[in-house]
Amino acid sequence: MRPLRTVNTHSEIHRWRTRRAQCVALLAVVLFMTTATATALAAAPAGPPPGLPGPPPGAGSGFPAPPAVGSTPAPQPLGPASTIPSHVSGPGLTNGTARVQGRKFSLAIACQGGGRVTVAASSVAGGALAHGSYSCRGGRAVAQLTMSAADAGKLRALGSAVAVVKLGGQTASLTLESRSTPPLYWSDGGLECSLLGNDEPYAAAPNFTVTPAAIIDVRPWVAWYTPAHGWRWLGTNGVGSSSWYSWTATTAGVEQWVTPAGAVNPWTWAPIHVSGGQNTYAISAFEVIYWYKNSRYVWKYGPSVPSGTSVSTYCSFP
Amino acid sequence: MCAMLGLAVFASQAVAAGPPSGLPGPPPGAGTGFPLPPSPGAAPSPTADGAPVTISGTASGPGLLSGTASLSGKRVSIPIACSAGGRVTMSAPGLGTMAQAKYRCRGGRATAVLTLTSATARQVNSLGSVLVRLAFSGGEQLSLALGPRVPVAGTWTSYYGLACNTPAANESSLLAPNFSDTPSTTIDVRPWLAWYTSATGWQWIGTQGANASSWYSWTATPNGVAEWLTPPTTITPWAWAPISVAPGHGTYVIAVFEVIYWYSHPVYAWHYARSGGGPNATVTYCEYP
Repeated sequence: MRPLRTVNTHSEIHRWRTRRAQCVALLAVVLFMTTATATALAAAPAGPPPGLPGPPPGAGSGFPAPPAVGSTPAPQPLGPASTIPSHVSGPGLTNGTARVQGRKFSLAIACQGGGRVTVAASSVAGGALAHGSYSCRGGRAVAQLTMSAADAGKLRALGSAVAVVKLGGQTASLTLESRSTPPLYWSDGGLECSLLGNDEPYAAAPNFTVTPAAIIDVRPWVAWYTPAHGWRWLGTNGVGSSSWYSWTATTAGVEQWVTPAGAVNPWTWAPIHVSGGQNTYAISAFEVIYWYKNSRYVWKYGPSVPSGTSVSTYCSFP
Repeated sequence: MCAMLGLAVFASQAVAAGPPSGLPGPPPGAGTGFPLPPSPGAAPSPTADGAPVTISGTASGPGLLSGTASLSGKRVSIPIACSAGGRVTMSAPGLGTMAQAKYRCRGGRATAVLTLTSATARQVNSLGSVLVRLAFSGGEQLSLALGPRVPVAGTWTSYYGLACNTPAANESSLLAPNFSDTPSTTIDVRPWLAWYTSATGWQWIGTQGANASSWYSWTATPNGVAEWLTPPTTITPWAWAPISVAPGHGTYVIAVFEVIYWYSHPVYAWHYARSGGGPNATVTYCEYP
């Protein structure tokens, strides 16, 4: 056994006290970080998301070139077999819509640590609309942000705008709205929660109709939420990335999906694997460009179908 | 979910010959194992008829005496035709493992009594009818329709179905119902034959053999299956024939078809097919003494 050390001189006592203080401080820092991280991961509130995911990544941008004059869409590939990752890094929004009151709005964040946030909306202002910092407690943070009076006035005139949120190295899309508006849903298609298996949803595109007929480009998405990571997006090219698919929308639906016998087989994206035990919620969204003379862009959520004909907001995978 | 262990109830009666006490219920794996959705705009590929098959009248694994059951409180009793005791586990998609029980086999019969948790029983009662899977310790997987009351399965209304003693004695032939739908939709169909003897209980044959069948794609239109229509009015349904039945076992046979209607949101159904005992006669099942 090592003998106890005897401290005698004043300088030795001072050095010993200094080292002890450093050790205690270091231990406190380590303990705080460990506890804070564990608390952040463990205490994220379980249950359904507090809000919908908002617009998909890059919503309203990254459009393909218009179709060539007189051309018809080429055959399109099906959505690939995909997997919703069980673990992702960085913070995420828990609600993709933020209501601006006066000049102020707040962002609800699923986090593992504090950080900075910047919000920009090109339809409102050229640069950043607002920026600020947030601190993370129990896996959640609320960033309180303020925009200029001029920008708030522009947003009021627009009603709502798609914004880009830079959040701890992540980029997310957000709907900023000056007045509350209900979310928009396609009337059919969407996410089939469990037909192929308990943790194997698949997406079916809505049967887009339009008068007069027009070529459309469609970009499909599935947003998923876990209490630990907030909302994230899966596209047909992987996390945060999806492809555009071209079809012809007519008054009766998508021309290319009608079989010779008159049935309608829509485009599907199947299967999409979900890791069980993550308390995951998922919803689909489809962006569409209608290639009129003046093209029109819209994005909406797809309905979710847990079983049979019942419809819900999300598919849930406990 | 906490699995409750039920006690076996000794069934002392001898195996009774004669017709089954109930219908076979849903086929093995009912409501699961679906194919991927059909390709956009693609017509279903041509399908082959069912290959000739023989019902031997003998089986090695357990069979249900009825494929439907009701809850009595938290308990469900499942009569089984058996050759040995074993263990059965009940599960359902979304409900997980619901209950387990051992059963003892005496005189070719057993009754497995399974006790659900209160929460699971409440879920079954609220759902009305649940397709559950019964996994036996010998590896057999059977399906059962379970509800607060005994679920009643429907019968496809089409004239087509199982023709008894056709084209010869101890044979039958099956024509798939002429599925119709408005609006037209692609359908995937999985055909089954359920057969019963007093010794085996209900057993299943699909187009891939015992307890295995294939999905077939067609287009259901308001006038029937598009791919079976030969203009102007001839219909040639999918056929499975001949179905030979080994004599001397006291065998009862009925056909079942599962269907997925690939609407925007698919709908699944399983029903019995009509059985025909002769010209214009409809019977519950075909009988082969």
